[in-house]
Parts: sequence; structure tokens; C-alpha cells
Amino acid sequence: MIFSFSLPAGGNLLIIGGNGAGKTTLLRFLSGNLLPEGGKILIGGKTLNELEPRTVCYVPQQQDSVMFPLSVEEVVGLGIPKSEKQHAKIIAAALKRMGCENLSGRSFSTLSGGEKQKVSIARCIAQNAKVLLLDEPTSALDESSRQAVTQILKSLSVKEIPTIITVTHDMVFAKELGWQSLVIGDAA
Amino acid sequence: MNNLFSALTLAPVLRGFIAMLISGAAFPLCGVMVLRLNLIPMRYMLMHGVILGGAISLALSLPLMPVTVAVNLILVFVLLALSKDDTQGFGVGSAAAMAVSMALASLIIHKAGVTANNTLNLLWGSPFALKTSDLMLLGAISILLAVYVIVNMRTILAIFYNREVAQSLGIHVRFHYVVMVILIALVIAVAMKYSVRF
Repeated sequence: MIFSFSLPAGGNLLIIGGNGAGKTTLLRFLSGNLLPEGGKILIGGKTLNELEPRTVCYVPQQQDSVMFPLSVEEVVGLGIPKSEKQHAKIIAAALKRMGCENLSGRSFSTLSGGEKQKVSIARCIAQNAKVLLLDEPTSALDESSRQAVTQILKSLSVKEIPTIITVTHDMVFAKELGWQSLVIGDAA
Repeated sequence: MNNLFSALTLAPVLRGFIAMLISGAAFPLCGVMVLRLNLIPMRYMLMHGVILGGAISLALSLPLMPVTVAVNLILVFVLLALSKDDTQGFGVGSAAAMAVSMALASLIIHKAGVTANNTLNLLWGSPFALKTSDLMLLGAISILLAVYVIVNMRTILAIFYNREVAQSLGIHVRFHYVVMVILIALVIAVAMKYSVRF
């Protein structure tokens, strides 16, 4: 697949397409999990290798497992550098920003789908990411959870996370966000 | 209780007891790695690798432990070199290597006239037959494992949480994956000899 697009600084983007269209594959390229056979991926004029670590925050569809699960704090703290002395304060602030302080101390795997999305976005805020990549954030969510995720994404300021790229095949979610869209394959 | 203490005055029993304590404290770390990295098929392959190592050791009159460690490391490196995608835990590759290991072990047992029962007896060895050098090797591998986990705890947690997330955090996931697979190979090679039958 040959692909070319650019996004202005501070812009958000929806990547829309049907199953198997290559949306997640594109996101995996952007997160550095796949390497392109040719061409370049530039974020702020820098290649992924040149970026500061943790600039890009990737939230995949499948996270964690039931066996030996991490706590909510451990998940949020994953992207905070070891040298950071304000570790606990940053985690608490990020959870508060997402309105999920009440989830402190719980096991991540026991959370609902919507709560997991909130905690994952809190992780990205805690690591001070400049680009947030979300893979189907509303898949397997009920109506109220989907709306909650939509509100969170709309409420994130450019200062918190300058650029958000979301992959989805949920057209209701895409319409509610109202961001510019990139359609891959047949979006119908 | 008195019987236990009096038994511990016997050197073989004391060595076995120490081996149990060390392996009981350290080896479950590898169990967590096996489960979280989806390496259960590879674990079975490594156990069959130890059988092959045992057959080679008996056929050539070589010391068991270095041979089994070497066979397991070779199997792991072959799988790592051949696999393009290791996220599924080498399922098919492990099954193939397991079958090849058993076939080779059977051939060696047959051709070299090694008694199969002797091979298995070597593998299901007793911790009470440990030498001091065996205990030192067990301790060294346990320390290596514990130090690796303690030093890299946050990195390991990130990889266990989600490999793709870890990769996007700038963690060298493939490097740590290889290190963990090698540690698992070492631990299974020694655990088969030390810790199975009591």
C-alpha cells in the first residue's frame, strides 16, 4: 500500500475504513511498531527515531490480560521516566484530569471498556505525549461509554495533547467528533 | 520436625533443600514470563530439548548439564532466527522443533544403544543427587534471573502490559524478548534436572 498524507500541528484526524482496510496497520506504522518498506514518517519534521522517547502514545485495541494484571497506577505510570521524582503526583493528576480518581488501586483488567480507555488516555497525558494514537477506541463500548470517550477526546486541549489520530469504523463516533477524516478503502 | 532437622545434617539432603529454596524463590519469575509472553508451546519444546540433551550426553559420555543447556540454547536461537513474527509465541515452530528433538533423541537412543529409561532417569533427577557445582550453577542462574527482573522491572511490566505500547515507549522489546527467552531456556534446562522429582 502506498500512502501519503500530512496533518498540520495541533490538528486531529480520524482514519475511517472498513475491516481489513489497513487502518490499524497505518497506526502501527505511526507508532513505530511496523517499519515502512520505503518513504518516511515525519512528526514535527523528525523521523520516529529522531523523536524524544514517549512523544507518541499508542493505545491499541487489546490491552493487558487477565493473568498477572497491572494496577491502574502502574498502567498510567508506564510512560513516566524512571528518573521522574514526581511520579505519584503525575499519575494522580492524570487520573484526576480524566475523572477517574475513583479507579485508583483497582486492577486494570477489571475495568470496563470505557474505564480502560480513560486510564489509557491518562497514561498518555502522564507521559506528556505530543501525539495520541487510538485504535478503535469505541469498539465494544456501550452507548454511554462511547459518549464519555467522545467527550473526553473533544475536551483534550492542544496543550495537553496537540495531535490526536483515531482509527475507527464507528461512523456515529466519527460524526460526533467532527474532525477531518481520512478514508481508507470502502468506508461504507 | 526433629526428623527434618536431623535429615538436614546430611549433606545431600541439605544441598537438595537449598536447591529447592533457591529454585522455588527464583524460577516462578520465568513461569510468569512464559505465561505473559505466550510461550507455553516453547516451554514444552525446551523440555523435549532436555530429553535430546540427555540422550546426547549418555551416548557421548558427556556431562549432562552443559549439553542440555547447549541444546536448549541452540533450539531457542534457531527459532528466533527463523521467526519473522514472535508475537504468537513460536507455536508452530515449537511444535516442529519438539517433534524433531524427540525424533533425534529416539535415533540416538536406538543407534548408540542408550537405555531410554536411563535418559529419563537423568532428566527426572533427584535434587538429593546434586553436587556442589550443580548447586552453584543453579544459584548463578537464579541470581542472573532475579537481577535481570529487578533491574528491568518497569520495562518488563510495560512489555507484559502490551508489546506494542512498550515499543511505542521506546523500549527495545525484541532485545528484552530474546533475553527472556534465553533465561527461560536456561531455567528449564536446570529445572528438569533439579526440581522435578522428589
